[in-house]
Amino acid sequence: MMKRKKFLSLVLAVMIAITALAGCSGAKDGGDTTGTSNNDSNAGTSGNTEGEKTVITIWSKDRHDAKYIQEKIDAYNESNTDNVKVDYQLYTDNFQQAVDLAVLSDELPDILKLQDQVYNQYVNQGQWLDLYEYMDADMKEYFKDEVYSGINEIDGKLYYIPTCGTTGRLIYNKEIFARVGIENPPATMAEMVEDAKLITSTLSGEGIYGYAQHMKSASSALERSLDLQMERETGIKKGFDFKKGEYDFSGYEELLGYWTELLSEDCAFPGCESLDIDPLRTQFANGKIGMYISWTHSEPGVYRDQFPMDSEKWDAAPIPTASGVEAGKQNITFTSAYLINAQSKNTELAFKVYKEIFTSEDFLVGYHEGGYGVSIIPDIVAKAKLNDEIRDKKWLQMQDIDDVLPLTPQEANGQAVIVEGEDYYKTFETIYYGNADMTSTLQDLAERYNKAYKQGIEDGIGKEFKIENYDPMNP
Amino acid sequence: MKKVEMSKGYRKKSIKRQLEAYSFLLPNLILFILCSIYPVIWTLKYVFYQYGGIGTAAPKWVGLNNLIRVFHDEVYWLSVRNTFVYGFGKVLIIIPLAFFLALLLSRQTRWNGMAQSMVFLPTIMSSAVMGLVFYLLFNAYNGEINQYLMNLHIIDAPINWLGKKHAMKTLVITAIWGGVGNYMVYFIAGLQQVAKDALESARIDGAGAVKTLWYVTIPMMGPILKIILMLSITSAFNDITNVMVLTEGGPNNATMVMALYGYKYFFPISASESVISQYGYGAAVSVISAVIAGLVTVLYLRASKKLDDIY
Repeated sequence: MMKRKKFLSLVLAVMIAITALAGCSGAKDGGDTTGTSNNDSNAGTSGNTEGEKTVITIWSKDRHDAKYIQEKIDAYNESNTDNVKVDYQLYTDNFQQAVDLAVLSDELPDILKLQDQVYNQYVNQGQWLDLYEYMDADMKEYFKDEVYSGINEIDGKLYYIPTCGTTGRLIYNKEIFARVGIENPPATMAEMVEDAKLITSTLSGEGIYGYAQHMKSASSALERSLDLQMERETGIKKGFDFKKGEYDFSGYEELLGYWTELLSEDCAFPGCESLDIDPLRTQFANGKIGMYISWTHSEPGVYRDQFPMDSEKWDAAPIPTASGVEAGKQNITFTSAYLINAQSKNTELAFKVYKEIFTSEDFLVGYHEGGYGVSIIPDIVAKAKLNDEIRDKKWLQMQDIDDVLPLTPQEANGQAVIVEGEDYYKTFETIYYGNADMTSTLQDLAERYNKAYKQGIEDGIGKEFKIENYDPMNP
Repeated sequence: MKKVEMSKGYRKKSIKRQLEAYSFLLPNLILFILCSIYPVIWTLKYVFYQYGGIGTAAPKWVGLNNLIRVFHDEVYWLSVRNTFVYGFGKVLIIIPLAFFLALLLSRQTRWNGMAQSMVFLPTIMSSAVMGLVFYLLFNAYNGEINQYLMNLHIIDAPINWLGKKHAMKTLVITAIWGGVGNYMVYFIAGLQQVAKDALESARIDGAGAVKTLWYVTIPMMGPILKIILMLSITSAFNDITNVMVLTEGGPNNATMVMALYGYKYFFPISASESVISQYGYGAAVSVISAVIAGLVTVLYLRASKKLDDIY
């Protein structure tokens, strides 16, 4: 009896250990997968066959277009004759970490939504499929204007086709502007500060303020505003001067001076330093904010669905620059593109799925019309019937001031430019919210960035970026 | 002296017993090694490397560079200072408050049970929800706290609670609200351990409520108070969710604490941010932070030795 008890105890102990360890190893799916997936199959099971069907897995990080894409995928799953089932999965949190783990365990899905850091991190490791291998002549011709050497085309290989893009604009409340007698949106920073002061001084009694920006996250706020201002003003992108082939932040001085004024009590909405973008949008929709800067692709949807606002009341305009002089184009960030896993067991099938779903005219027109993204393909823009929200707001579309700029060394490979100390967004914070001396801080910033850039080259991780004849107006 | 030899049967039994004991210990031991020892060794190893994580270049040996960099990193030392302000600010208020609430609500009545649940509720609430609620309460523009204070004529103009000047105070208030229930429960458990006969004899000797509390209850709670204080200090040093949700360490690093500063070299602080991971430097920051937290704990344990002496 005793022996049996001991034996049972031992078995139980071993079982506890195994169960605990199995629990520790975790599910492969990742806890934050949110459920648009059609089945319960593990994430990234490239080439799994479900019954007779071949499963092609797609990972996305975006929730805003998930419903639209799922509908298209459902239709494709019903109509395709290749016996393919597409499994669409959302990884809205920690997409990058999920991809890293999937690469490590060889469980990357067949198709992934583009995320710049993920793309750049693995592009030199043969992780992404060269689309040229499968593209026919018609497809190459159709998307020829979406090929950007050094960005999506590297060494003659095309890794993704961007179909939508975004850039920053000044979003302003027409009613508030009219109330204080401002006829046109500001074109220079001096005008912007003046307008913001006028609105705040005239209407703050009613809780209306001239300017707001979600400064809780400096990088989130400044990459859609200050970065683009600098690009148009000087051709410098994220502190990098392509002509000189080095980082130079001295040109930011004038702009940062205006930003300090803009974020002062005389102009800004109270509590901007702890404001997130959604609370800001709520107050804008409530008519309490005169203007702010944000992305072209997101705001129409926000004011149509999330925080409803009469479309007549707001509009978009180019972001003001310090001098008003246009010396360069402002960058377009790609918002919709897909990568195909070159290690997938079904690359040909994955490409076919990608081509039939994501590059079809029907999909692209519907995507643009639905306001899920701003198409950068002129043919699609011409064919789409836009809703009022976008149609009447010229500056929500891509214009002459916008273009795709080359990648800076840090964008191309973050690990090649490891900067000691705070990044430039956080450093700017010490200027506009702190008492840091502007000139010496910007000089120190350039030194830190250039030191890191050179170190990366020395270590063989990075490479030199210098474009001798770089023309910011024709990047 | 003659050695006493164990009989074969006894030795066999003893080995079996030991095996049995170790087999029960084994699961925990394996988990402890995997989940505690291994990460610590991993962290210690990467202190000496420059490494960007999976999919990046192979780790590069940098010797003591990461540690030297920490000592020159002004923002890190600001975060250490902020951690002390946050930690001690929280502990100094939360402990007396939790003790007071425990005294008030320790008697088993229906009302007290309900009140205990109310005070304890924030402990089990999601930090993200808490952060959002506190943003709505404290935001400078239309936060309810400002509205109440203005209605009561305590302030004339709204206070920017989440601005550079007041953000740390707001964080401490949030932390107290979120944690006081937890410590209250510890204190209630401690109060129930106080010997009833000691309280009874104090009462017979004519001691009033205050004297009984001061000379009998508090001294007798010494050992548990020591543990509660230690827990509150160590948790205050590692508390990042509260900071992450409410201020993300800002404005201008005014609320950056050392645990969050280490975290940001591994993961993005918010969904809208991307991160260029620096595992080596993050590991160095974490190790130095752990040493600081360890030193504070050791100093505290030395200073609080007296609390072990029960009268």
